[in-house]
Formats: sequence, C-alpha cells, structure tokens
Amino acid sequence: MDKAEKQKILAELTYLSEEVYDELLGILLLQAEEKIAELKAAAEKDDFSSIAKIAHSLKGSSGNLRVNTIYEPAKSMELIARENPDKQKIVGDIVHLEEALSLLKAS
Amino acid sequence: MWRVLVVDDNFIDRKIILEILKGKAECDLAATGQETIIAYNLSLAEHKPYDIVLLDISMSQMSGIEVLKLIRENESKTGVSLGDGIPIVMVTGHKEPFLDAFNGGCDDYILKPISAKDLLEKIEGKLRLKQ
Repeated sequence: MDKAEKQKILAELTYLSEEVYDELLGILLLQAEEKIAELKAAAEKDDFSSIAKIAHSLKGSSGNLRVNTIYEPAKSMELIARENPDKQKIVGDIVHLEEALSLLKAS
Repeated sequence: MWRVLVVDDNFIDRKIILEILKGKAECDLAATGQETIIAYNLSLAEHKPYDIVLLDISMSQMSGIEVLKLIRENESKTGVSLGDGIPIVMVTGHKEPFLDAFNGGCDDYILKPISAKDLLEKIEGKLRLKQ
C-alpha cells in the first residue's frame, strides 16, 4: 500500500491512529494468507458454501480497513459462490487475492 | 458512558468498533455466541446490564441470529416484552439476513464496512428511544 493511499484511508478512518492501522493491516495480511489456503482447499472440493463463508469473513475485515484490493475479490467470490457458483471465476478471484497480498506484503 | 457488548468473531472487526467507541463507551468483547451468552448473563447477575449489544450475524458455530433468539427467549421468560428488551443492532456484510434477525427481535442493523458516523448515530438513536 503506498503512502498516499494509506493517508487517504486514515483521513477517512479518523478514529484509527496510523500505528493501530498498521497493526490491524498486519493482522489482515496474516488472515488473508490463511484464508487463501482455505479458499483453495474449498475450491478443490467445489465447496461453494465454505467459499462463501470464508470470502464473507475476509470481505468484512478488509472492508473495515478499506483495503479494496482484498475487499473487491472477496466480495466477488462471495457473490459468485452464493448465487451462481462458477469454479473458474472463483479461482480467478483467488489469483487476484494472491496478487493483492503479494503487493501489500512488498510495500 | 454507554455500556456496550461488542460481538464479532474477527479480531479486526472488534477492534474497529472499539476504536470508534473509544471515549464514548465502556465495551466488553465476545468472539463467539457462547461468550456472548456468558457475558450477557454475567451483566444481569452483576446488575450491570449493557445499554446495547452490537452483534455480528455471521459467526461460525453459533450465528448472531441464534444468539439474538436466545437473548430474547431469556428476556421473555423474565417478563420482558419483545420491543422492551436490550437494544440489539446486528452487524452484517449484507442486508438479506436482516429479515431473519428482525423476526428474531433485533432492533436495527448496520452494514460492513462500518461507517463510524452511522454506528454512532444508530447507537444514539436506539438509546434515545429507550429513555
């Protein structure tokens, strides 16, 4: 996440100090890593119900921290898994999540 | 200061609400349905009831809706009518579960991602109605 992006988020989330935000972001990245592994395992078994639950949880916490690069694929995956299960699209969203996670870890 | 029970199985989501309520509320936290029921019962036993419960709908094991129903059943047994019980605001990522929650006796809902302004207005509104 670049500095400008983070400052924009902090300007909205005025109740969070930068220190607390950074801590929570670190936790989100750990959670995302675990959940990506869970999503892959669920996708292998076509377990769309689990995919929806996992994606929902990730959507919630990433949304609360305004990390849209995780929020958007999580939201997409949840919707697909709930309403019109499509393994290919879900796998695509998992790839987007992995890319987002890589970029966030690198910054 | 408000006494608030914050229920969510995700650490980040609990912490966000805690930070929003800093300086305005004394908060207890619960990460599961079981912990919520324990905290709720303890608050009654200690005569320190919560002013409001912020209750995540989607929790593993026991959902927020099951917790809501247990709290309302308990209130009903002690003679509290539906509508007169502890204000419970469901915290949810999407609107649809709200209907089940509404039928189960919740007072309102707030959507994730949480807006601090919306959350504070909801709480103030519910507690103003209660007075």
